[in-house]
Parts: sequence; structure tokens; C-alpha cells
Amino acid sequence: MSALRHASLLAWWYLRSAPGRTAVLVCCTALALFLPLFTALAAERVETALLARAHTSPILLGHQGNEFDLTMNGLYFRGEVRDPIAFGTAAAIEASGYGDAVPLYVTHSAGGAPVVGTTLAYLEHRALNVASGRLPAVLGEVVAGAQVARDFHLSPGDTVRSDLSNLYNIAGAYPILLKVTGVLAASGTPDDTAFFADVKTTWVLDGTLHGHDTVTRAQSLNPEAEDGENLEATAAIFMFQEITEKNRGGFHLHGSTDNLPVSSVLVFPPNARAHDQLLGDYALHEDLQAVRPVVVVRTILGIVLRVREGLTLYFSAIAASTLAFFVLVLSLSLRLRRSELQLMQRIGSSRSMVALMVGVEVLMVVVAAGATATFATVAGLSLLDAALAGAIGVG
Amino acid sequence: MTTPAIVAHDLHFAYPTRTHDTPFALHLPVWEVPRGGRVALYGPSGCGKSTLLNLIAGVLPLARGSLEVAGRQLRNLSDAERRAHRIRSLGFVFQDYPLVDHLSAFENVLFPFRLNPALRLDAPARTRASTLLHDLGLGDKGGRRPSALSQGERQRVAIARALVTRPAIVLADEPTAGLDPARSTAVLTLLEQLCEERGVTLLLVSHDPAVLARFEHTLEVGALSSTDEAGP
Repeated sequence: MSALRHASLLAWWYLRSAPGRTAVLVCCTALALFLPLFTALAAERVETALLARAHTSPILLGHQGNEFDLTMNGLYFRGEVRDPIAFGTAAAIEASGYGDAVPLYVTHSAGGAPVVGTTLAYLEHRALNVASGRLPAVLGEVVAGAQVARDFHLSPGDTVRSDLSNLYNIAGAYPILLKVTGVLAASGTPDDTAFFADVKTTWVLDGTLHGHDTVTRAQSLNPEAEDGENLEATAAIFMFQEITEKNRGGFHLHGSTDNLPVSSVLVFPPNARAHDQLLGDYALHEDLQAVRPVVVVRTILGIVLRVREGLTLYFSAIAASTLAFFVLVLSLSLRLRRSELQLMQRIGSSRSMVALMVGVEVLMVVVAAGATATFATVAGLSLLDAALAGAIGVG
Repeated sequence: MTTPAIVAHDLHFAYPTRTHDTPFALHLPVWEVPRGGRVALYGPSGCGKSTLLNLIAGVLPLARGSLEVAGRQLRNLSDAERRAHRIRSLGFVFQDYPLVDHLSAFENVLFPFRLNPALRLDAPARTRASTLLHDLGLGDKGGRRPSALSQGERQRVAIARALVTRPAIVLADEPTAGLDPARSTAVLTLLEQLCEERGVTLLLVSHDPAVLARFEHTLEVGALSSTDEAGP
């Protein structure tokens, strides 16, 4: 014990005598440990986060096309689907006994955060609870995800204006003032980063469902119209940009809700049979596709894994070269210290004591490097969690 | 009659060689150094002065004969016992291995205690180290690194290190080789004085006639063949 104490002191004094060299050794070793460790843990964390969301989303129904776009839009509210499907699809699926079909319309945003048009069934299936306030009840109301409420400092009763979907589209809809009725409890999923509204509210954002001043015969384009014939409004007519108690009843659409657009329909089959039947039924459908998000996410992760394997190989090479560098520095250092080590042996020190002292020096460097690498990994994973939460709302 | 510090009988040593050349060999028929004695070893380069010191120190094993150092017969000792004997009974002042660069002067003096747990690094040992540094004129320089000391000061720290374990014998291998005459005289005077005060036997290797002239007993190592020349 005493020998170890003396060896430790001698080792510490030696390392302390050249802080620059010791720091370089510790940093290089720490980097060699950190890179493969962080890569492995980070990839695992991304995998877990992405797959967890996919596992709770059995089947996503959307228009034929890019299944990655569909999945990213339906699960993570990122990007847009190129072709929407009809809202009536959800009702048709439910009528066929395939399970709960939840429409998702993810094309609008407010303050950059997605405004997801859906039904209350979505919140139930995702087990999303209201932390404060209440759920949206009427047109123009939204409930905010925990993260988005925190970012925008929103609480029940506040309002938020939807983003202009296309600045250069003069025929497009105006931004609408939305009322925040509640804030959802944090779930650690992409749901934290979005607003949720009834799908009708998102059609208001489209302009499909709209409200405006009453068109009088004098303002119309066809004042000579017969009684009972529709009057044609001019572009000067005032479109409502806020849904109030007073004008809510005046919002209307021209056509059937069944034909209005949604991005996708999330289906929760009650059993494996319904699940497989649904997939089978839509396997050869001309316009629609039913995708299993788990499969799509695994495909994406397959690419990530291949990148990770490459990175692991790369970082292993770095670790090996660092180890070689470490051994070289150690051997050069021992050569430089030959007189000191010979002195130790000449005045009576055993070889084991010399080896113990050098071993403790190496151990101190490795422990310091390990601690540095661990700290960097923990910090890096925290940053990754924040980045994941910001990017796809998971972590 | 006290036991001599060093007793050699028919001492033989030869370095192993892989060629058929005549190997270097050292032969010391009879040689005694009394306790507290001061003996200077001299001779041309390569004659075996350092080899003799290494044999006395137990660094090199004997080929034949007997060598008793500080009351212990070295032939009977294992490697570990020889090391323990070396660190307990012998002090060293080297020309080539002066001090450990990253330790303070004070810690350099205590260095032998760090290397062998059998030596207790207690308060008396620390006091002894302080006293030695003070006696050698380095009382206020104990915290300095060797790089901040002059060559003479470094050699004085080495002397303190050689004496701090209270050895029976100090082996000094050209301890003043790098010093100018004035500093050489000063260092040598201190070494002799401290050894005398403590009853320590001093064996010193030197080429310098001025140094050899200070010693009553000298031994020409290159001519080690008869008892007449070998011994005080």
C-alpha cells in the first residue's frame, strides 16, 4: 500500500511537472475514447427514439408516392406530402372494420411550429393529456404541445397567428388568429412540438372553409341576378381573419367535407387480422398506399447504421493511431527519463517499483482521459437530445 | 576491534562476452576498508573503478570470491536482499545520475524513501533531510527544482540524498568531475566533513590528482593484483 502511495505521488509529480504534455496526452486519449463511444451511443439513441414513435403508429395511409415523406409528415410532422387524400377515407376505413382511423392534416404552421389538423381520437391514441386549460372545442381553437408552449410562452387564452402559406399566392388564404385553449403535458415525442386543432380549423387555414361579409346585390359581380340565384362576390369582399363568437356561424365550405384534403390517415387496427387485411387491401390500390412506419423507419435507420459502421471503423482507426501515438510518447518519455529510471535502480529500487510508478502514470492519464471522454459523451448526448427534440421532437 | 566496512577476498568478476576476445576482468585478492575510513579509487578509464563500485553496491554479481559490505556477505544475498541492503546501507553520489528533474531539491533528498517502503518516511527522516540541506548551505533552496540550482548546488543535493538514509558507506563516483576547482574543493570538503561527523565510510572514484591528494588511502584499480597495493 505504501509502495502504491509513493508510486502515485511520484507519478503525479511527474505528470504535473509538464502540464502541457500531460494535457495533450489526456486530450488525445480522451478523443480516441469519446469518438467511437459517442457515435455508438448517439446512433443507438436516435434509433430508439425514432423506432419508439414508429412502434406506436401501426399503419399510415396516404397517397401513392414517397413513403418516407409520408412517414416523416405523419409521425414527425416534418415536410409535406405531395398529394393529399380525401378526408372521407378515414370514415371508409372505420366503416370497413379496420379500426380507428385518425385523419392527419399537416400542412400549416404557426410561428414555424406545425398546426396538426386531426380529431380528438389522435390525442387519445397518443395518450396526450392536457396539462392546463382544455381541449379545442370549436373552430379556431388549438391546443399547444408542451415544447411549443414553452418556446412561445403560451398559456390557455393566448392567441397565435398561423403562418402565411405562400407569400406570392394572391389567391391564397390569409393568416388566421388561433386561440390557444390548453397546453398538453410533455410526452417526449414530436407531439410536444406542434399545435393540434380540429381538422376543420386547418381547412380554415387553407381557405377551403371560410367566412366573409355578406355579399349584397350592390357589391356583387352579377347585381342583375334573379332571386334565388347565387350572387358572385368580388375580391374586395372582406374575408374573416379571426374566428370569433360572432362570425363563427358564418364559416362555411362549398362542397362536401368528405372530399376535403388530409395528408394521411393513421390507422390503429384492433387486431393482427385487421392489420394484415388492411395492408393487403391497399397493397395494390391505385391511388392510396398503406405503409408500416416501423418498416420505413428501419429502412431509414439502415442507412444510418451503415454510416455508423463506417464512422466506427474510421474512429477505431483514429483510436488505434492515438494508441500508437500514446505508446510512442510513453517510450520516448521513458527514453528521456532513462537516467532517472537508472538512478532509481542504482540506489536500490526494484524493477517492480519502477514499473508500478510508470503504470500509475499511464493509469492516471487513462483515468483522466476516461473521465473527460465520459463527461464529453454525457454532454454530447444531452446536446443530441436537445437537437432531437428540436428536429423531430423526440429524445 | 571493529568489523571493517568492506572486506574482499579473492574477488573475481568478468563481463560476459560473445566473442573470443579476452573479456574485461577484475581480480581483487585481499582488500579491507575500515569503518569510517576514506579511500580514493583511481586508475585509467576502463580499468574497472565503476565496476568495483557496482560490485560493492551489489548491482553486479560476483563471479568468484567473497565480498562483505557493511556486515553482509553479498554472495549469500538474493537480488531483492541485495537491493534492500543497498538502499539501507549505502549512499550514492553519481556524476551521471545527478537528480530527478521534476522533483524539488527537498523531495530529491527524500527520493530513496519513496523507492523502498522498508525505509520509513517519517518526521525524523524529513527533519534529517532539512538539516542536511541546511548543513550543505541549501536551507532556503529546498523547494527549488534542479533546473533552478547551480551545478555545485545540485551535487550538494545529491550528497544530502546519499546521507539521508544514514548509510554505513557512501560510494561517490567522480562527484566533482563537472565542477571548477573552487566548487570541487567546497563540495568535497562538505562530503568529507559530513561523512566524518556521521562515521560514514567514504569510497570515492576520481581522476583528479588534487582530489586524490586529499586522501590518505588510495587504490589504483588498474593494478589490482597484490595485497600490498590493495588496501589502506
